[in-house]
Amino acid sequence: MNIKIQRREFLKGSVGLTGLFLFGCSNQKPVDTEDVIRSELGVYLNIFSDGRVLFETPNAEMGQGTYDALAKILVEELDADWGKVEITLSGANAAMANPKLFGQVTGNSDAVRGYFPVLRNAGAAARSMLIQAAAERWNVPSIECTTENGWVISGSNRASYGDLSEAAGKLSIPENVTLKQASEFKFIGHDFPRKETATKITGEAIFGIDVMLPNMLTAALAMPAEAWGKPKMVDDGGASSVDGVKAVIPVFGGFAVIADDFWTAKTAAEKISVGIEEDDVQRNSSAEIQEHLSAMSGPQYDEHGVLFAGVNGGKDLAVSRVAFRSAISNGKTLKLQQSVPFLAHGALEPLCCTAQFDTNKLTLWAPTQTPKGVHALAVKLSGLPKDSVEVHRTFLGGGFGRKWHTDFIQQSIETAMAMPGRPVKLIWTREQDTQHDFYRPAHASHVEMGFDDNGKITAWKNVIAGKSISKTWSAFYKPEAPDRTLHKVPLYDFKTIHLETRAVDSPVPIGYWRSVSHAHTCFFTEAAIDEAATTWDRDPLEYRLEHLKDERPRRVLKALQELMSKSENDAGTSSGIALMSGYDGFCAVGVQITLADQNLDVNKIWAVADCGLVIDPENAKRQIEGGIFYGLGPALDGKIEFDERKVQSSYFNDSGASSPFAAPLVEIKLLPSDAPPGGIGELGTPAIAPALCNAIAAAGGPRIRDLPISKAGLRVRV
Amino acid sequence: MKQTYQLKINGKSQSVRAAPGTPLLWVLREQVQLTGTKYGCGVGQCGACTIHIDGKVQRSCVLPVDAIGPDQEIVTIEGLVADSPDHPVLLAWAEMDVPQCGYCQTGQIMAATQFLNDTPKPNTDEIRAGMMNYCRCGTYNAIAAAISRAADLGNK
Repeated sequence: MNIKIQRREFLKGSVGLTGLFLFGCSNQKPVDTEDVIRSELGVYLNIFSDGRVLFETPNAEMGQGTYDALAKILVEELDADWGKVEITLSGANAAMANPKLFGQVTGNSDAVRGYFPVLRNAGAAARSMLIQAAAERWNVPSIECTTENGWVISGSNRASYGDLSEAAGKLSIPENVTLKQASEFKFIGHDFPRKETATKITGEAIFGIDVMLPNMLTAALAMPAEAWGKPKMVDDGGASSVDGVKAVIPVFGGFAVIADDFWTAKTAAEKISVGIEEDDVQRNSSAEIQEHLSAMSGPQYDEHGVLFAGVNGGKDLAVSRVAFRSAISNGKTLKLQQSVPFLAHGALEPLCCTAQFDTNKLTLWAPTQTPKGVHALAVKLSGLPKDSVEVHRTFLGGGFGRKWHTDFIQQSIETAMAMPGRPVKLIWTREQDTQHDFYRPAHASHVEMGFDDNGKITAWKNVIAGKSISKTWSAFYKPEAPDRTLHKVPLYDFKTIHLETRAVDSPVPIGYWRSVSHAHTCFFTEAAIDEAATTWDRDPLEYRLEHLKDERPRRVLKALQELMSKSENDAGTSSGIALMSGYDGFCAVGVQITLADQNLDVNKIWAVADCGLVIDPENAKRQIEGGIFYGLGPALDGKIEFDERKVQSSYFNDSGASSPFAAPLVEIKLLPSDAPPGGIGELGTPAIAPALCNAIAAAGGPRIRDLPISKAGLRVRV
Repeated sequence: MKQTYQLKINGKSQSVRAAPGTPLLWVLREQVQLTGTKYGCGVGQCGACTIHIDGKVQRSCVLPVDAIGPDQEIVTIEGLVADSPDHPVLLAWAEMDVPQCGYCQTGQIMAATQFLNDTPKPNTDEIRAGMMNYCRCGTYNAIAAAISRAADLGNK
C-alpha cells in the first residue's frame, strides 16, 4: 500500500540535538509559532544514537491501553526492536491533534481509530529514511536494503537504527511510503506485556496525585452542598487562621484552602460554610427532573421535537410523523416508556492537578483527557503567551470522561496564581468528586413499534428527552441538527424509522460518561426489542437476527449464541442478551442470572465482539470486560439523586460502582475481522444493562423499563 | 499544632511532623514521599490506601498517625518491592498484566499478599470473599487469576 506523506518540510539536524533523529508526521496544520517549531522537529519519534527509540504518545493513558497500542502501530511500520522502545506522555502539542477529534484530546474511543494512519505513516517514513541513510553509507540502492528488528541489512552489511539515526535525520521525509500488509504484522494483533505495567505494580507510576515538587503547597476545596448555583462564602469558620494555612481564596465552584499539607488544607476547608446565591432555578430534585423528562418524551411536548432520523430518510419532522403514523395504522402496536438516571463517573483517583505560576511562566502537571483544553484555559486565565504555558501530563487514575472537563484545572491554576513562585497541588475529596461531577444525564424514552402479521417490527419510533451533552459542551452544536449525544440510529432493519430528540434545559451539570449516548440508547432499543420478542413469543436472539441484514452483527450474535449454549441448561438460571453497535464495532453481551424470591444474582457474563483490526487482543478483551463492569453496577443500583440540588451519594458503594464482591466471571470472544480498527474502551459498557433486564424478564421477573434495576424492588448485589 | 511522631516505615525508623489525627496515608505520601499508597475514598472503603502494619492489612486513610506506636512495622508497596522483588504476587501481577489505569493496583497487591499469607491455597470463592478493594477499571477477574497464579508460584 502506497501512502502519500502530507507534510514534506522537515528541519534537518538541529542545534543542541545532535545524535537525535527527530521526525514529525502530522496531518494537522500548525497553528502558531511554537507549533511550527515543534512539528518541524518532529513530535512522535526520537531515535537516539544509543539505539533507544522514544515514542511520545499524544494520548492520555487512563487504563485503556493506548500507551502501548499507539507505540505498537508506529513500531510495526518502523520495524524497531520493541525491547528498545520507550514510551513517554507528551506535553500539550497542537501538532499532535487526533485527526478524528480536531485536537489533542482523548475521548470517544478514538485513539487508535484516529492515530492509526498517522502513526503508520510516521513509522514507515522513518524506516524508509533509515534505509536511505544506510544505502548511502554502503553505496547500494535502497531497494537492496531491508530491515529487521532495529537493523538495516543489505547483504553482509548491517547497521543499527541508532547508528543510522543522525544521518537519517538529515534526509527529507519521503513523499510516498509503502505500508505493510496485515499478514506481515508482527506487533499489531499480537500480545506483548504492557510496558507501564511494572511501574504500576511497584507504585512508581506517577499519577496526577503523585506529583511532588520542591517547596510545594497543597490545596483542598470548600464547595457548596448544592450541585449547581453560584457559590458564596457564608462563614470562614476561622479556616484562614488555622496553623499551616497559607491562604483561603475564591476559585471556580467554591473556595480553596492552600496549606502546607493536604490534611491541614482539608480540615480547614471543612470549617468553611459555603452556600449558594439565591436564584430562580426550578426543578431542584432528580424526581422532578425525571418526571419532567418523561413528560417531555410524550405527545404533549411535540413542539419541542427535533428530527434525528426521518421515515425514508426524510428531513421534515411533521412529514415523518405523519408517515410513521400511517405505517402503524393497521395492526398490532407496542408502546413503552423508559428512563435512565443521572450517574457519576467515579474515577478512583479523585480530581487533582498541580500548577506553578511564575512571573512569565505557568506550568501544569495534569491528569487530563484534554491537553488542548488545559493549555487554552491556562493561556486564558494567566494572560501569558502560548509558549509561556507548559503542560506536563501524568497517568490518569481512571478518567471515563470526567477528566475531559477542566473545572479542576481552573481551580488549580487559580490556586497557583495566588501563590506565585510555589507549586500548588489541588486535591478533591471523594465526596466532592461524587457530589460535583458532570453527570451522565438522565434520559426518558418513548418507544412505539408497529408489526406485520408475523410479528416482525416494521415501524419503529423512539423519542428521547434529556439534557443535551453536545448543546452543553460542543462548539459544533446546532439546535436543528441531529444530536448524536441524545440519540443513535438502531442497526436493525425496521423499514419505517422515526427518531426524535427533545433537548431539555436544565441546570444540572452534565458531561460525557463512558460510552455517552450508547449507554442510554442501547438500553432503550435493546430492552424494547426484547419486549417485542416476548410479546410475539420469539427467541430474543433469533428475533434480532430476523431484523438484521448486516453480516457483522449477525456473526457476533451467532457466536454469542454458541458461547452461551454450553450453559443454557444450568438449573434455576435464566439468561438475557443485548447487542451494541458503535465505535466501528459490534459487541453482543449475554448474562446468566438467578432470580429467586426477589433476590437477583448475576452468575456469569459473556461477550462477543467484532471490533475490526485489533492491536492488542488481550487488552481488547480486558477493555470489554472492564467496560461491562463499568456498566454493571449502575445497571443494578447506580443513580445520582438530587434533593434540593444536593447529591444524595458520596462514595463508591452508594453511587453504583461495581464492587469486588459482586464481580461475576466474564468470558469474552473476539471475532477475527478485516474491518479497520474499532474503538474498544467504551464498547462493553452499554449492553450489560439491557441484557440484565432481559434476563430478569426471562426469569419471570418484572419487565424493567426504568434503571436502575433496584428501583423495581429486586434485591441486588453491587 | 503539628507534632513529631516516630514511625518505623519499611524497616527504617524516622520522625515525621503532622497534626494529630492526620491519617497515616497522608504522612506516608507527603512527609515520606511514598506515593505508591493511594487516596481513593478517605473512609476505608475502596482499599487504594492498603498497607501492612505488623503483618496485618490496614486502610491507611482512616488510621490516625497518633494511633501508631514507634515500634509498629509499617510496610508500604515500596517496602514490599524492595524487600521481596520476587514476591509471587508481584511476579503474578506482572505475568498476568493485571493493571489497567493502575491506580488501585498497589493497594490490591498489598491486600493480596496478606490474603495469601492467610489463605495460601485459595479457591475462587475464597478469593472473591477475601479481596475487598475496588477497581473502577474492572480488573477483578484478572486480579483473581493473578492471585491463583501467585498461590501456585508461592507453593512451588
